[in-house]
Amino acid sequence: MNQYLLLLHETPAAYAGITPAEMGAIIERYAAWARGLGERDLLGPSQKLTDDGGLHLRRQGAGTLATDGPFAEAKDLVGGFFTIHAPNRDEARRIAETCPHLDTAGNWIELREIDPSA
Amino acid sequence: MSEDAHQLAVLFREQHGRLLALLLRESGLARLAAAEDALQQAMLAALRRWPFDGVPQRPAAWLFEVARRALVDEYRGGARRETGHDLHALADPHTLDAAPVERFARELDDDELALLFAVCHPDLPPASQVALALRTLGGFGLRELAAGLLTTEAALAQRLKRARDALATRGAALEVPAPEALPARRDAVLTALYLMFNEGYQSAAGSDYARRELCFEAIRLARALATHPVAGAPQAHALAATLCLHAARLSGRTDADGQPLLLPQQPRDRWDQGLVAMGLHHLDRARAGAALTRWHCEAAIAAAHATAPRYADTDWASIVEWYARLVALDPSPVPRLAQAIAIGEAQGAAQGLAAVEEVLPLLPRERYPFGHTARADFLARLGRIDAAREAYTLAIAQTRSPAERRVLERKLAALECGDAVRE
Repeated sequence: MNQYLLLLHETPAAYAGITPAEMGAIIERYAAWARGLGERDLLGPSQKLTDDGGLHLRRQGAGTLATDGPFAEAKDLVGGFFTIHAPNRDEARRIAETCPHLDTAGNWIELREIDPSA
Repeated sequence: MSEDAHQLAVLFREQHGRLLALLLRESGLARLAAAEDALQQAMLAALRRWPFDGVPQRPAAWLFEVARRALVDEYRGGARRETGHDLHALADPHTLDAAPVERFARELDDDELALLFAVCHPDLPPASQVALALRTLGGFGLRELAAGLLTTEAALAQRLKRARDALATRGAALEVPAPEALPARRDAVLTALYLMFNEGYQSAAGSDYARRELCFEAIRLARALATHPVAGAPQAHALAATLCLHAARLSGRTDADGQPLLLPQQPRDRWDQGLVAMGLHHLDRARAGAALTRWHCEAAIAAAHATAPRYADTDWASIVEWYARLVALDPSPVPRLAQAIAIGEAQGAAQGLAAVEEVLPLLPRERYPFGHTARADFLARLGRIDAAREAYTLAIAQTRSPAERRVLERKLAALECGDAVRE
């Protein structure tokens, strides 16, 4: 089994018009998806990231330049990540395609394999 | 899994009013808009956090805490005003999440009930009462609400804003009205819920989903009001009965292709017997009252339709009697038109035609198509084909509903085939 990282990109503004009932339904779909993977032991650590976008750090001369990451108003923000276990990339892709994150317009998933050779 | 998805959707919608009412208990009704925003923010936070953390043990308590913090933050950020409300007085979140989330199952608590009375205040225009009740207690989004109420999001937002401002200006208190004021205020709420239901039931445009949800929200609130120990009353049961019995027929109103079916053609085995039973139960409770209200009459008429095994079994004589009682209480043209149609069914097309023609000139403009349709139906039954054609054509020209127009065009076509729609 290899390990894959699903970086969940989103456009927070896309959620603006969503009704409470729709929000409830979307959350349930995420929960069901995670539960389904958990039952098959395919789900690894998964975390929400804060909306402040964090910091971008670069060495500049003797010091370090820190710039703010994208804020919640940004067009594209990594909201959090899931890690999953899958035998190969095709299977990982298949699992990622069932993630309800893709149901909201504007959202996309960056699928990366965690290098197993380490 | 889909059952679960439904559950959390229902929870978010049904807890919306309850959470909002709790927030307002702390902040006061004047901050309704801010409280709505805070709750929206909390739900959005849940949407973006729970996928990773899982759904908390007590989701409503979580939402309340986050919304309350957002409301306090907003208050601190905004201009400070003296309000006599302590924003930090903590509502007891332990009372949250105790309730089941099944549709229609939950009683309103006193905060929600106070909110219902506040938003259905007779000082607000009826259309605003309906919109604000759906928005605050029903947790409807602007988009779906605009679809259900046949308006634009911008117009709706404007209407809601004016209504909130009016409540704030009036300094309206968030409380269940005192006993002496209760009957009149309750009547206003019942009327608003009836309007809410009709928006969903009669508007033929808009998505089926949006319309059905309006109907179900009206039923939920009517049932909750009816069963409330203090604010409940027989006429509230009568309204709940009326709405349940009408809603029972929602599932039989269209054929397999989604085309509307008229009452005589509706497959009665597709009516929702659960809702019929619920309606009859409320009708039974409504009989406890000494006073006969318009809602009692409406409920009795709806029950006569819902309990007839076949259209031919309809007890028109009893329906005519109930319409007579209804018209005695409310002599306006709309119930009189319905009475005229029932007279035609009970006593023959000639009597029906005479009664319709009497009320036709009195109808409000948006009801013209119904009047002309009823007149055309009776004319067709009497074999007066040319006059019937003319009346159907008038109705088609005046109706704003595409579904209604299709029904009328079918009737007109049947007329041309010499196949008058006799029941």
